[in-house]
Amino acid sequence: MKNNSTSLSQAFKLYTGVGLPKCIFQLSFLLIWFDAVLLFFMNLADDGDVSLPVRALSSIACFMFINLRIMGSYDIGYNAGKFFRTVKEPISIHAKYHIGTIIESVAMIMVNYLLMAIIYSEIWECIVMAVFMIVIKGLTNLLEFIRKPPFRVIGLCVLGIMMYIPYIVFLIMHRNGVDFQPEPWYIPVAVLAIAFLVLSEYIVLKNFRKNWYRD
Amino acid sequence: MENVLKINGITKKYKGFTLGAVNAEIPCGFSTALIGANGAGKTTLIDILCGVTGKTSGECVYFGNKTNIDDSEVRNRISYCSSANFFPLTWDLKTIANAMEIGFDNFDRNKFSELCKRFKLDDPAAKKQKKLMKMSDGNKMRAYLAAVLARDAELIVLDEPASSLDPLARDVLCEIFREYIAEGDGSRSVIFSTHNIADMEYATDYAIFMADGNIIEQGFVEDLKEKYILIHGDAKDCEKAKPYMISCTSNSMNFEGIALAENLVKLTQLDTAVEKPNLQQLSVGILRKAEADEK
Repeated sequence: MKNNSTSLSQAFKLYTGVGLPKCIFQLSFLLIWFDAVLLFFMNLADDGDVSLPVRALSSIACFMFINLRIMGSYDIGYNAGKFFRTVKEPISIHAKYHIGTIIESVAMIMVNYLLMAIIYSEIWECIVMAVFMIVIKGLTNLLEFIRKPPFRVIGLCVLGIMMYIPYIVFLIMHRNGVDFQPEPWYIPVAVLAIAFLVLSEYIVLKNFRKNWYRD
Repeated sequence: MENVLKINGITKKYKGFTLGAVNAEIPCGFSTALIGANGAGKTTLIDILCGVTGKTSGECVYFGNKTNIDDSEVRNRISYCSSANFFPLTWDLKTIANAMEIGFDNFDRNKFSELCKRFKLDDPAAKKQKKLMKMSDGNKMRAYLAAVLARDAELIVLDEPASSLDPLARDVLCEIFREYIAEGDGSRSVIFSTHNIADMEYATDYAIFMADGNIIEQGFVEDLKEKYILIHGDAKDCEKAKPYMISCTSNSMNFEGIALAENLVKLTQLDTAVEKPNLQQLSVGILRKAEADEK
């Protein structure tokens, strides 16, 4: 009998059927395709400046892509929930898979806002949005404390609305002619956002271990 | 090792349903059937034994000396399959094989291919694969069974494996159980829950009957067939025979039912015919008695 410990990518493959690098590649391709289609149709529909609606809609796409797995697949009632609970190290494998989903989400955020930065050259705005998305991902992570799926969906909708906060702030700043110099804030804010994401992941996994058999 | 599992007072409380306390000793080297009506607690018990769900109290001793189902060594020795949606419906046979290989240390890809062939499924190594969602319920269950039976585990636990299978596939499943146990030379065991008692009798050595969250009877099938008798008679003798029977059905012409073998002499005096019951008749009799007692 072999006795191999399961790697993060294997754990991800066990849950999704696809390895983590391949999954990131496929989703990135889809996200870029979605953004391109969005840009194309927006340009067709409007002769004016379409950058704000495109950026806003691409953020929605990004939000959806980073929360693809929010409903979880470890609950007994879900498809394959019982299978995932009977593998050799179910809790450790689930934790690795969960960390994989965070890596996948961060990769999606990077891809989306890198693309937006290339298209619109508004680097500071893309960095702010990417950082804000990381915070949103940390918050959606915490939704796993809500055990009932309908309430989890409501929580997700609330966060979906919250996602527009930076755009509202940008708009107010733009209308009032506020000259904001964000450069000195990039690194500290990004570090804080990543720390929040890591903390939320730690809390979620700790809670998951504690409640493994509570159903 | 005498018992593959020794269940000591396992309980589980849900809203409106309580399992147990369940006490049972499941013999090693045999195939054990869990028999009971819907909602009797079979799935809950299986889920607790396999570490799918938690228990409120009690303990289970696995393989003679292990009590921790979270021990990966114990999990590797148990091959479990649920009654439905065991794998994501977007998976195909190849994905299943990949996942099983990652999830367990003792999955044999070649055996999986052989079992797929035996269950008349596609080749898992083929380039073009059919997803589970496009398979019939019966074929989905065949795919699940091929995956769990392809592991070199010491205990196979299956929750209603026969429910969606056709009679021929059930026959193949019984054969596979027999081969699996024979190959283990006393070290391999099978536990399965079933409602298809007649079809699965060939694969059943030991039977555990459950009703309303409790075990109401258990034993080797051959011993149970000695303990109980099947009685037939004319309808006119039904009322006289009833006090000696545990369950009875009658129409205007005749009656049939199960009685304890210790009442054999009294029942034969009533001009009744006595037979050895099959597992199906035995199950109906025992479960009817439990239902009547509950009322």
